[in-house]
Amino acid sequence: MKQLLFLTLFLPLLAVRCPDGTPTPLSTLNLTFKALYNAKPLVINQIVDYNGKKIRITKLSFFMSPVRFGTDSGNPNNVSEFAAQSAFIDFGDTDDSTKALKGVTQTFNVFNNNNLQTFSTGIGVDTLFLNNRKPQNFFSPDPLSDAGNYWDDWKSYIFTKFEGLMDKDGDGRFETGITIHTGGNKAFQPMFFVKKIDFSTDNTATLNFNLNVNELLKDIDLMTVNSTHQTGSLPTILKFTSNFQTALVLK
Amino acid sequence: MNITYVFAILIVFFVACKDKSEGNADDLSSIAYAPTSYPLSIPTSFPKMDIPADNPLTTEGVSLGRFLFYDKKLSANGSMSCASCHLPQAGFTDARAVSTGIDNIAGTRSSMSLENIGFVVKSGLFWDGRTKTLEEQALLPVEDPIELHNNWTQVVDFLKNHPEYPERFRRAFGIDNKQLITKELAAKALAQFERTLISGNAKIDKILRREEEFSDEEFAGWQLFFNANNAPDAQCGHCHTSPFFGSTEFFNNGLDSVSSLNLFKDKGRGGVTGKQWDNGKFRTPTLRNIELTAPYMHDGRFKTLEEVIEHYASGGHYADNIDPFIPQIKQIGLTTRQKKQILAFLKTLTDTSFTKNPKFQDPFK
Repeated sequence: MKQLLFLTLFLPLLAVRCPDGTPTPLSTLNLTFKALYNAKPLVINQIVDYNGKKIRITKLSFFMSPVRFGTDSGNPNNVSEFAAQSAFIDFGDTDDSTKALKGVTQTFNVFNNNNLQTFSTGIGVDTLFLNNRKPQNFFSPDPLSDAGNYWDDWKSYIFTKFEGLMDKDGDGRFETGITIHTGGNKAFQPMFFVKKIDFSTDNTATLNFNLNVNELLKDIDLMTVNSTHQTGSLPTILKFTSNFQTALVLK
Repeated sequence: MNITYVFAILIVFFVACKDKSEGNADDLSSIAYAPTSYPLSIPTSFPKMDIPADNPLTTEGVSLGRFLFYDKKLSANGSMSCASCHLPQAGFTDARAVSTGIDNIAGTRSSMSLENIGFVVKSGLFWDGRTKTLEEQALLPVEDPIELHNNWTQVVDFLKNHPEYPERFRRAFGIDNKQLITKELAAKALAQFERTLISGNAKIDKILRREEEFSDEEFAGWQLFFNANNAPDAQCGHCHTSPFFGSTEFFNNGLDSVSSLNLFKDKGRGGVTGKQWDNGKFRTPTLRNIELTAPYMHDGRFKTLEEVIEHYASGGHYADNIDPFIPQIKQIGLTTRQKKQILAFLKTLTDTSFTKNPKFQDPFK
């Protein structure tokens, strides 16, 4: 009789408290990325000036991993919220001025939003836990499951993609391909941002980033280096990802 | 008198019951419904397959799908089936430049291979990605005027009145009445069969499993294809990614020279998205069994693989949205020998154990 009473009282409590065994996220944290070129929102496929030549940027994407938030502004490894193992930022759809102005947003669940003031991540795919795996280890639609984001010869995910076409000879035809891809553990670029994250009354916060594409291309001459899948491409690869340190700015 | 009355009522009741339980020719409930999970054999180098929760693979469902796939009665005049354009021996293409339907009207595009199709649905099926799932895709050819040119009402009527299909639907999906056969269930069965079409036993797979070795020529071709070991980058592997040697993306691979993006004869992906930058872009097909699927490209314009390689080596034809990798191929200046090496590598993707697999052949024969 006691057991029956116990079950009658306790089971409904369990059902209410733990419907799926996981705690409910408290808050939503948006990360919004806006790509800029010559200080204007970058519209994919639109013609822009590059050192007096015309180029058309057709693809810009990068992996970030892991996605972590913390409370200690002096220590990127003091993490209180591990939001995701990776995130894929792809500007492919920002192909008109409205979308380019709006940018690309990734949304994360946050369980504890008290005093969050740091965002730590890496440009690329985490070299300890993820970049030693392959697309077949992940489920679709995770971008890590996409073989197009992996380069066997590097034994690495492609951390960043910057592609486009250049009118090198000024004849109005964009006949020169630009394919600056990066990858390999050496290219992984740890990033650390500090800013008090203020959540609104509906428990939502947004961090806004600008990605300055001119800065990404700093000290890379696309006139002479237009591909990074060649022998001797490593310096360009390392330069491109290290440029994220100054190109990616938290507003 | 009272007893007679009761007796009469009982007779009526008995007859009514009998009519309901035994006289309903549509009733399938007496047939066992005990589906068994289909043992899908996925090579270890392949990713996991996304299978919809509402259409798990069962032996019965796959079997039904196979019958439907090969059944010419699905076409309006009984002359064509799905398999008419997806022949196993041609790598599940029809080996024609463009496919022709039951009315002898030529389509505008070449039949796409179905091998490993269960893995590559992410960005959409067909050359232009216009459907998102195999279940959705399977509904279209039956009613397409340049394919089977039938209508699903007629097809479903045929299936309901067939001596064997109702039982197969019952065993696959548990319906207890043949009137419950629908086009959606037929599409689910077709999708199940298509998901079993896995090709992963070509020479390249055996090499990766260390069961065989490349010839020198094949190895050189592989290095060029994937820019491996600091070989010149023939750029092939950027779009034809391993393990399917295709991709889920859409590219303009430089087939047509147009002065304006609106001048593409076939808008391809742009016809679906409405975006001019997508005009002339097509889904990257798998290169597995490419040796068997000539002619090539979405419109079958190239008769041989040599022509295909020559096209890419030339850097393709200019359009404003040509993929940046295409003009870079010309940059490396592939030699005749290197082109032969790439061709030799492509032939390591042929998997006749797949094309000849009895499980994938016509069940009516």
